[in-house]
Formats: sequence, structure tokens, C-alpha cells
Amino acid sequence: MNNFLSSLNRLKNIRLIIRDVGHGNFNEIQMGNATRIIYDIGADKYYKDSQLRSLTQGLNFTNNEEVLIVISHWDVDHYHGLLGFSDNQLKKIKGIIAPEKIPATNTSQKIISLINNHKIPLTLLSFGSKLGKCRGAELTKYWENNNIEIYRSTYTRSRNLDSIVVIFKVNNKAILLCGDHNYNKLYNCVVTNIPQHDYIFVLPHHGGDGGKLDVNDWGQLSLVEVIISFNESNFYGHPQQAILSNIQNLLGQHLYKETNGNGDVIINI
Amino acid sequence: MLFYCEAINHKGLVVLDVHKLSDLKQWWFNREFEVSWNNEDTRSLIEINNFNWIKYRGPREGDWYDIPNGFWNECSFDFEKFSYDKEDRSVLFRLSVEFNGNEKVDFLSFKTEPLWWQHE
Repeated sequence: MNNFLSSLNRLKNIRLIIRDVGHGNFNEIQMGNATRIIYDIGADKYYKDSQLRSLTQGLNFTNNEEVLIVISHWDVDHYHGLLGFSDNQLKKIKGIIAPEKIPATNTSQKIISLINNHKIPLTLLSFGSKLGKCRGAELTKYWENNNIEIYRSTYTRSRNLDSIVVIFKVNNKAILLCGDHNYNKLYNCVVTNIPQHDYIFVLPHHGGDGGKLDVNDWGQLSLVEVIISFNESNFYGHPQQAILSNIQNLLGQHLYKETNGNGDVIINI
Repeated sequence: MLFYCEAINHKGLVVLDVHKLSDLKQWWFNREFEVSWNNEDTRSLIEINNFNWIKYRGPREGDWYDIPNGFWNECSFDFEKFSYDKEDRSVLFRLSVEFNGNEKVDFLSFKTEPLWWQHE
């Protein structure tokens, strides 16, 4: 994994794709035709075979492409998309990074078996060490180079907070990918390390409960894009109206983007 | 039998998974369902609708529960909704359940220790 990530240095032009996967998360960082990092490889848990097939067939891996996958946390709508991959697609995966504690369910076991059967290197990250930046679980930096920072949560019993957060820094922009994490912890532990960049933010938890979004804190950043990956048919009531209002206030004239059956959101950087 | 709470929505919908498919198979036989177990079907998510729990004593995502037979005796089962024989079937769900009990359930009393996969 380290060699793969280390090779991704001095990135200049990338494409961010937030796939429209119903109420789930599937985000790609495409670096030309050679390399792709997928942060969360999920889909709506109510997806049917045809929907999953359509998603994975539409990924269009190139012949020489190498793929790295990061699973933010072990919530099924963040990882089960892998069940739709063909053997050829699975062969292109150079590694998968995920949190260490995997709930011992039949569904997660299907994923682990798929990974093992195709001999895909699986790197499981243990909890980070607390630095005292906030109460309760924190996010501490696990790995970095010029373009990528990987954060790992410290000990927590919360499935959503037991996760991996990634920031991609390209051309003075920072793409923040954070699964279902918490606004306060993201701000205090991650974002304050990189305050000068223009932020492209895929909202945590499909715009649902991610704790308080403090507009005084987040208003100090340059927030240039916000994307919400969700489908309005979800039974959680995501996204929350209060979150949407705060986000729109922070963005000003610029509107947030959403998947919600509108297709993939694609941003060239 | 052990079940994992994958998702809830605080409006009576709960999604459960199981530890092992063999556990679900045994549970299926024990319930004496009229629909026979299909060995080809590896799906294991179960949705429970209309579930009513005592306030603050309900299921929580990410936790494990040892649910007794008595709970399931107050449920009816829809084998058609996620049938394996459907032309375009659900990727994850196997069974839809309707809770028909009159009393709110102390689901927290079923909570048990979490199970994690052991790895090298």
C-alpha cells in the first residue's frame, strides 16, 4: 500500500466522481487512465442485481489501470458494491484499506472472502492515538505525502466514528472524504491542519446526523463545492434541513450538488 | 440466535444481519417456514417493519442481539418481497418481516457482546 500511495505524488490533474448509488457512498479519484482511488465502494442497501451491475459495469476500468480502495467504515452501504465487481475488475485492485474491527456478519464475510479469494492485499488500520484535540474519539494522521493525507480514528465504539478519513490536495484544493463522520471532529482534527486550501466536501452521513455543523468554524474555510450523496427515498430522512441551510449559507451564491437520482457528480480539478 | 443491527430509522424499520449463514439456516428450519431454505441463496439481511420498542430500549446500529424465539412468534413473514426467484432480486436482503406484537419490546435486554472477525 505504501508504495502505491507514495507513487501518487505531485498530482496535478484529477477527476473527482461521486457516483449516484442511491442512498450509499461511492467516490472516485481518477488520475488520468492509469490510477484510481475509490473511497467507499458502497451502494444503496436496497439495490437490486441490475442496479449494482449497472454501477460496476459503468466504471470502465482501462486495461492498465490500477485501483486502490479505501473503505471508510464497516457500514454495508459503504462497502457492498464490491459484490458487483467482475473477476477482471477485481484483478485491477492493488489493495484495500479499511478499519481493523470488522463486524462478524455474513455480509462482511462475503466481502472478506471475495478479497481473499482474489488475493487482494487488505490493510486493516488499527485505532490511532489520541492527541487531545477534542473530547472523545479523535482523528489522527496515519499517513501523508504531498497530495494525500489519511486519518484514522482513535478508539470509539461508534461504527460511524470508527473510520478512515482521506484528504486529497491538488492545485490548492482539498477534497475531504469522510464517510459518516462528525463535523466537529473533522474540523478540529483534520481541516484545521490544512486551512488555506479551497475545500471540496462530500458531506458526511448523506447530509444526516454528523453532529453540529458549526458555521462559525466552517465559515473560516474557503468552501467551494459541497456534494451530498443520497437518495430521497431513504428511510432516514437524509439530508437534514438544518444541515442543508447551514451548508447553503456557507456556500453563498454557489449551490451544493447532490446525486439523488440526478446522476454522478463529476468535478475536474 | 445472534443478530447484528445493520440499520434502524426510529420509525419502526430495523435491518438485521446474521453472524453466519449456517445460523440463519438453522433458524429457518427451527421456525418451520413453509418456504424451504435455498442453499444457493447467500443473502442474509432481514428487514423488520412496524417494530415498536420501549423508548431508549431499542436496537442500535452496530450492536449485536441474542433474539429469543418469542420475539419471532409475534411476527409474520413475507417470503415474496425478496424472493431469490425474482428476475431482478435484491443484492443483500433475504426476508421481510412484519412485527405484529401489541406490546413494546425491550430490545435492549437482548443485547450481547459484539462479534468481530479475527484476522491474521
